[in-house]
Amino acid sequence: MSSITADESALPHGGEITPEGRIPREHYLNAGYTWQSWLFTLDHKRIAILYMVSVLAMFALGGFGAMMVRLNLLTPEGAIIRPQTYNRMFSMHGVVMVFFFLVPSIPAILGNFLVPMMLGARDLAFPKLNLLSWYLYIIGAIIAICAMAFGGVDTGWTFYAPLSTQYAYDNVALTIVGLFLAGFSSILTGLNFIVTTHRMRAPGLTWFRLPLFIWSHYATSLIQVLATPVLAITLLALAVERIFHVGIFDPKLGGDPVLMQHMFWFYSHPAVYIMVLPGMAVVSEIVACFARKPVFGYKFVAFASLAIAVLGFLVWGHHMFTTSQSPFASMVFSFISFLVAIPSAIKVFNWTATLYKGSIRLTTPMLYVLGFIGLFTIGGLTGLHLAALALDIHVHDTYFIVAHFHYIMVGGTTMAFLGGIHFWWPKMTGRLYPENWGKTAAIILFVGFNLTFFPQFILGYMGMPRRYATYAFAPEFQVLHVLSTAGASIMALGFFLPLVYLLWSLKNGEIAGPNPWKATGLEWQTPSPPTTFNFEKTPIVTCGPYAYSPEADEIEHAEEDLRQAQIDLALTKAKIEADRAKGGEADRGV
Amino acid sequence: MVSETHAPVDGHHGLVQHQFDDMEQQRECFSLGMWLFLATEVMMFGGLFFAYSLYRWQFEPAFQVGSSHLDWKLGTFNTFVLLFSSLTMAMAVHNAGIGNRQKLVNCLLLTWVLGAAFLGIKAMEWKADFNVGLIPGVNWTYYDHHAEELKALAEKNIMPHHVMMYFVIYFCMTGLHAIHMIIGLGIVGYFTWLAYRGKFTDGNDQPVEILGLYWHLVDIVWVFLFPLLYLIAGFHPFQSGGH
Amino acid sequence: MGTLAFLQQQASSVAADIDLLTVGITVVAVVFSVAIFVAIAFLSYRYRRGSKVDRSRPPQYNHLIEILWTGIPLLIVMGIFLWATTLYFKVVKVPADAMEIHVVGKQWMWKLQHPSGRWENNTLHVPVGRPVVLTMTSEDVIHSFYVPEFRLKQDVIPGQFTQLWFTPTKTGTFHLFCAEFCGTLHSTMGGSVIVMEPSDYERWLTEGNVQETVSAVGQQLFRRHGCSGCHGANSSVRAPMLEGIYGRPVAVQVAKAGVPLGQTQATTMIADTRYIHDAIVLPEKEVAAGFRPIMPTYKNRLSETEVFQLIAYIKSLSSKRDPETRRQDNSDRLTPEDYEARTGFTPENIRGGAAGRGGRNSGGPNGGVAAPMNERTTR
Repeated sequence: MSSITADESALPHGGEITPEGRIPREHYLNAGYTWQSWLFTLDHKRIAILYMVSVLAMFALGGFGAMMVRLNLLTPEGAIIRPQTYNRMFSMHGVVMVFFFLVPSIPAILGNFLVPMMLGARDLAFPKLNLLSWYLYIIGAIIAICAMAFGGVDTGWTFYAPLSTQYAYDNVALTIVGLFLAGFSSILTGLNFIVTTHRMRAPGLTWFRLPLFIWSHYATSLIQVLATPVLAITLLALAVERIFHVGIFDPKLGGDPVLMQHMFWFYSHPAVYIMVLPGMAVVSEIVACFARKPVFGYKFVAFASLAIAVLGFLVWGHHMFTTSQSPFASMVFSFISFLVAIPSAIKVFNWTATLYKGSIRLTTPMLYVLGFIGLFTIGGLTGLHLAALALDIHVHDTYFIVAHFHYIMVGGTTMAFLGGIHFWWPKMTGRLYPENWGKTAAIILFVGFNLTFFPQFILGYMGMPRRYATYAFAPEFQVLHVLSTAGASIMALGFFLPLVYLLWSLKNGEIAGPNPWKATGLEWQTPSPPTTFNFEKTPIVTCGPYAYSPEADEIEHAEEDLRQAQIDLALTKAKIEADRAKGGEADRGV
Repeated sequence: MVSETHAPVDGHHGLVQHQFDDMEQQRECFSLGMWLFLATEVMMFGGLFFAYSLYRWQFEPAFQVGSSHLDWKLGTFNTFVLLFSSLTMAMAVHNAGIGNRQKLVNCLLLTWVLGAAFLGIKAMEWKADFNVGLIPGVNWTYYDHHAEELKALAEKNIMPHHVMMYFVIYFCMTGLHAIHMIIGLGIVGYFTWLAYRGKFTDGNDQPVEILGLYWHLVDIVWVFLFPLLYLIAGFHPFQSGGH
Repeated sequence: MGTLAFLQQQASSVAADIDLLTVGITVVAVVFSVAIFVAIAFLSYRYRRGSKVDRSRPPQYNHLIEILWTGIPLLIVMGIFLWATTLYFKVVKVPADAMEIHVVGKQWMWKLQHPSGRWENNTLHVPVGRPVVLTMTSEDVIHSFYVPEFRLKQDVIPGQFTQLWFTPTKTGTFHLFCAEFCGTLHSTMGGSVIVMEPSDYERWLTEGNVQETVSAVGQQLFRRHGCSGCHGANSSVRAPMLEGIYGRPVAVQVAKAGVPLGQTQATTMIADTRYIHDAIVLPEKEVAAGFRPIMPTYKNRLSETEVFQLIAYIKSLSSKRDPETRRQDNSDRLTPEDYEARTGFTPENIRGGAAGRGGRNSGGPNGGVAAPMNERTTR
């Protein structure tokens, strides 16, 4: 009962035939082997792969910064590096992870790969802009890396004035240029997604038949397009002030340092929704597939994505409760911050309810997204602590905040990212990853993550401030820091393993076939890997997404059991025959 | 309603790009895409307008002094130059639509000339500011050499560094606008050449329309910048316009 | 009930309330987290593939349930909001009788000054049981004054005053941290808050390394910078007399650009800290009614600390008529040289740029000097 009338014979013939399926003879990966065919490609799938390689490289760099930070905090006096180096390390970690990993990860890799296919289109609306978007990213990344090679910045990723404009050492302007370019990369990606979603849906694919992946990415794109330009102008103003020594934010020249914070957080708060909404997009798809059920409350989930995007623009002042912001403004920001928790809660409840009466398989992607749901819930609920004015006064700028956002960004977004990579790996590469390794790595990551970040809630409440290279005034914090660092090393293993086995699977993984998960969604109606233009004929859509049936899955499971039992029966009979034949020979003394 | 996929050989399949089903879809996508891009520009300039609003509210008298150093007559003339260029741009769009190559080229050329004139006049204004030391961060020395003015400021309780804040905002805003004008001129020039080669009169006139949208946005931004920067002191300037 | 003292001591009057709020929110968080975890675990097990359970007619949506689980969390968070906000207003409203201590943050140390004159760096001595308000500013970048045991912090911003008040509830030594990243030695910019019995505090005030009251230092500045030349009793220049002015209403002409002072209406203002501060650094803004606006500005010549000291001196003139008379009472005052020898600071030192700060960019054109305060600040 497919909802799609695309022709099965639409798959190109030929290629390697295995019981699981075929690798088609021509697909997007072998459509050209020259470097030009990659660096000047217009194919959204190739651009996604380009992003994947560069984003993962930046992730490794940011992870190195994290490693230095956590190692140094093993002792109160700082175990391995001087404060000046430590400050540059945590600044690098923040800058790289926020701008070069979290913001692009899911939209630029999975979004780029899947959005056109989920819409039944041949490509995004503006393939050249898409390629430009990647070039802006990679050039921005190279510039940022150069800045780091020259020593990096010691301002934190938040670049507060007047520290960043007048007192920070160097490389601020260079880093800002890199971030400026990365910002425009993000804007162009968002612009592309919005136009494609509005105008390039396949016939019959109405808004409420769209996969929730599209709804979430649409909401993300709205934020990318409207918020990122404000970051651009803030960075520009910082650079002007730094280079020309004029005073937009300099109090001695009449400027207001808190104005910089307003402009900065006006982007950076919506930015965190740019980082988490795509994670939610992935979760919706994977939960539906491995519960064999449509996502519960589709419309509520779709509108919740939009609500998060809208409300997310109205809460930026909750990062500034301890500045000279007026208590009345703080009250308004606090109120709306409580409101923005609700659409996220709705999504969590709806995903959980999706499991009810489903037929659930705990595959690797499913483990990752269940991990997302749990950890995002914890991280999001600690957002209540932070929205509460009186409590935020105490925990602002402490490890409580660090734990809160890492629960959402790592426990949430990064786990969803890994789940999505695993889920769509067969589609992107034509190969399956080894399932047992996948599950193992997911569990290792989950354990390591909690060991790293849960102690930080306690550390923060006890008063350990963030961005501290040393904590010699408070050596009683050491035990929790050591626990946290131990967890980080386990987490590192959890990140390293997929790198290894995913690369291994490129050559040695099982052939996947077009739809190894038997998932719905137009992307699964194409071969694995897909051809350059995705569909031989534009599909026509006749019903909604997630046309799964748990009862059909029950029957299928039982049929698999039956088939397996028949094979067992035949093998057993053959074994008995063979044993009897051998025994007969022995009797005859041969 | 199943459409055929176009599998282009080299990307120049007719006028419809390969990812689109038909011309209508292409037009809609380009149009929507451009409007979204204009939204990003509005947000970007918006940040500067926000900073301007805050500091003007705090330092109104200083902003009046700063504004009075600008030549509002030249600014007004320049505004009309830019508005006129928007008219010629609109005419260019119209001519592309009706397929009149010669008039299209003329209108684009005229738009370019007017845009360049705008920038030329702006350059003159900035040079004049430079000559009297009114460019913060570059050569802010005006009040060092104008003791009378400094005394007048003191009498009216105005701080020189607040006047400098006005100029910082002024140069940031007009500078960002000028960058957009330069980019616009580049594209208009390129399009004039393409138009001469007949690229917009053989069926696909939309790029001119898209460029027109961009040009009009840059114009509208100036329409807001001009009164906010030039006309603060109204018509009772601290001095009678100019330095 | 409601105590998180096992994590961190509660040493201020609001700490217990904040801990109770934390426990309340945490209970809500735990209830929902556990509910979700249990639900996921239970559902994943019961409905695992191959289990023989009823999967007929799985619901796609249920508007009633969805509205309920939107509405109930909404009510809960609104409840938390009301609770937290009421507590917040209690936390930020400074009691009228709070003892004011001046704090200046700079890279990478805190300078604190008690009204009686005692200086200290990186340590704050306060008496238990009495409300204290810290009036703070920064000389360079944004810092934040954080005492975890009080559950309180407040950012310290250059060019602005911010305030933090507290009433310590137990004696002891507590952590003082800087909680806004401020550069290389951010993590060592801290020290202790030492809460003492009131009698011990009084004794402490009189010993230690400062012999002068703040206002006596201010008096020296008053003379050294020529203030008494116009504001003194024997001046030939007509300038407002300052004795008794602090805290009283004064008639002022607020200068407006383009309007000659003679035609400006006089309004009444209270001569508070902000007024006197700006009168010193921006005298043309609010001119005493009937006087010519001829006072020069001291913006480039005094640090924030020195302005505090002058204000303290002017405050002290409420009980004496003549600044000259008051001088005769302070026979044990220090000369500036003695002052420097004992504290290591001269006013020029205090004004200067941050110690240990390197790089190409110095601290702006005016170093760490005083600048007019924004009128809208302070909590």
